[in-house]
Amino acid sequence: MQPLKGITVLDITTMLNGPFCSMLLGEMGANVIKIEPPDGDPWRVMGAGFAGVNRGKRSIIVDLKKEAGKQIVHEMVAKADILVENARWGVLHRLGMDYETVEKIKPDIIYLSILGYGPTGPLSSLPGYDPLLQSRSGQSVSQGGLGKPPVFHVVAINDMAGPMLGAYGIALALLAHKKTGKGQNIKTSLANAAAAMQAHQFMNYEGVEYQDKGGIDLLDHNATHRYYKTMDKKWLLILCPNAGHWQHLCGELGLDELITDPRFKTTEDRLKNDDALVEILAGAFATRNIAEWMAVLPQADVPAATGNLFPESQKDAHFQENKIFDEREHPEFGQVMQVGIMPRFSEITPVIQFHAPSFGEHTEEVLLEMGYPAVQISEWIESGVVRLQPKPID
Amino acid sequence: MEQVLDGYKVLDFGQYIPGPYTAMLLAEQGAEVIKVERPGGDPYRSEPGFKVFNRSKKGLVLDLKQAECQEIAQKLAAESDIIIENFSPGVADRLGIGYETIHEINPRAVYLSITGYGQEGPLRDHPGWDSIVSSMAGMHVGQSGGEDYPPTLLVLPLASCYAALLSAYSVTMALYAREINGKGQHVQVPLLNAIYAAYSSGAVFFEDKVMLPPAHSPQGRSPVYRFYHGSDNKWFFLALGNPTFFTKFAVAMDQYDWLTDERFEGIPFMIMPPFHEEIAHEFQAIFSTKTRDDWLKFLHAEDIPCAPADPVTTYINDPQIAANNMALDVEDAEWGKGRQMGIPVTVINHPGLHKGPSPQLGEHAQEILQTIGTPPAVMERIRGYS
Repeated sequence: MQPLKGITVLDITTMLNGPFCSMLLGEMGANVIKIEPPDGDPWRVMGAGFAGVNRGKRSIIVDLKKEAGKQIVHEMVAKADILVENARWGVLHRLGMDYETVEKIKPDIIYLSILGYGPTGPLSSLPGYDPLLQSRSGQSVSQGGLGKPPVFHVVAINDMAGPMLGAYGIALALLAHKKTGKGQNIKTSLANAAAAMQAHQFMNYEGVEYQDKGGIDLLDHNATHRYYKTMDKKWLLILCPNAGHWQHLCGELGLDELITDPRFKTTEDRLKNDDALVEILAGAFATRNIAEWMAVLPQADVPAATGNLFPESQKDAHFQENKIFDEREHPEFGQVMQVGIMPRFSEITPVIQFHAPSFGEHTEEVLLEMGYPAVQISEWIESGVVRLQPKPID
Repeated sequence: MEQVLDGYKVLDFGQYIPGPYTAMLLAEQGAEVIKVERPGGDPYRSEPGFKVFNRSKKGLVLDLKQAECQEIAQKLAAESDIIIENFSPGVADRLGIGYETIHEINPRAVYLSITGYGQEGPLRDHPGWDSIVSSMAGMHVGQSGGEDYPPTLLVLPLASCYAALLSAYSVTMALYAREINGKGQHVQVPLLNAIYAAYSSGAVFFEDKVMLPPAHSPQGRSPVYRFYHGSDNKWFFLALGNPTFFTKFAVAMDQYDWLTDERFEGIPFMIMPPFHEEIAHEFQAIFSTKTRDDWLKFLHAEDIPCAPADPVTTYINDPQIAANNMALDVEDAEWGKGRQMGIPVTVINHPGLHKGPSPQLGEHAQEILQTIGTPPAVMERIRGYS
């Protein structure tokens, strides 16, 4: 079953965080309509990146700056159940798509705002790019180390966490709506997401010190949480959270004497003599190839990992069996491989309804669906109120 | 005011971060959460983060190797709406609280499993710790710039946190599905899946995809979207995220020739080598002429996106955090008065509710066991666990 079958989501978001949220809803069976401005979602220049967070949606182009465009979208609102937005604060008020206006049209609408910084406060009017939050929130210092150069995380930490929180909010609102018939206004922000992604250290208590674990080109935290080079010059990560793991490691390395060696007996001992231990372990790991280590260490309950590259990981048996990736045909890009549906359910059957839409691919289809006569649609195209999918330039 | 999950009961067998964090997020939207720990407690108790991921819950200790304790756990599960576990595959079954057992007792329950790699496939039984799974997912290689460079170990437990956020969403969606068809189900969000979800935009491949050549750029690869430092060696991030901001920046810096300089052709993200390094050097030379805070003031006045690089200890005092109610007063039994993360997503009419500090080991045993009519002798024995 698909819990959002029959539910219509209006997606007026752009870039990364908003579209990812509505894509999750599309996987639950919702009819997601992506309303793009005449210049399109700016994230389209990212090509592949756009495809990754916009599948399962239909794209229509409507100019909300024109009165007739606003009217069309307001009529869509009247038939919609959920609206997702992530505009810079104030923009939607000018376009007549703010919560107050939308709620008057559809009082039981579920309306999610994914803000950059927040609805109020000193930064609320600023554009919320993910790395700005990485920077301000301490994520980049956590990685780079206190007093050292901060590090830019390649994964857009907050741009991906914000929409997950937003989706949680929408699921809560759907539950509330089922029971009360009432709509909800939901808010989250990248600023909140930035705290949520470091909740373990986002705190302030006297006597509780911040643990500085970052560094330049970090390869390890200590000898038993470290990347080692194998005989075939590959990087192997090992981690020994508990005494048991440490003992198993020593066993697998044929170095049982380390267990009783006074330098390495307890966790504290090992930290004190970290350099000496690194040297010993580095020597040991260099004696076999990575495939050999990966064939014995995890099986001996020693947490170990290689560094799997994407897109090569697609060929890995585990990734295939678990359908980590989805492959499908896209009209512009050809055969596209991208991340599949990640949460798994025994009752719900999530679905990727179709490829990420081309710009305005469904303008005509959606407008006809809404019952507008072809003549009216032509007029709107003439006056630029709506646009069809631009024809490719030969 | 009522919260959305008022009246819902969560039985949380989670350890470390993912399971417990999910349960806490549910607790603060109204659910009543019982955290079940083994004798000796959740190993994560040695970390400060335990206090955050386990607040707003009641605590009970059970030795699930004992039949008597398994019975109690199953009785509690019979009355729960959500059961959460993040053991290695097979462990929950051995402890009498596996999905099949619970589903038979309570077919309406939503049962959440968070494993490292999922319950099927060659990696199923590999120890699935956050750092390890992140490595297997290619995150560390991706962070350092590719195969030509040593990987960069990620400090933050991203996979665990993403698993919790995705799980809170997925579990609640399953509750909504239950409203439609009356059925519970097994929800799974492996750490591997969670970290890959966060890579949705990055992990896309097709034949003609334009790829930048590999580069090791810890402060950011694009010269218009990266970290710079001021004359005082304090750092900030410059985010010229679109061509309009680049134009504003060039004008503000009185560098009109940049606007026709073909080295900038791929702004913001597709500037080709060697230009990306060349430009970064030029920008850094300029930024080295004033302090970080002077630059921030200047750039803000010109509406150019930028932000200071500060530690998390500064962020909790940020006025924007206060405006968002994102720093909560939580008095801890051990540490006294202090602050932690607030409630990160707000449903306006049901804004969520913090219920109190994390439980001491077994703190609510009596209260919990009484609700299921546990005989006094058994209660005595259970309360003896610590």
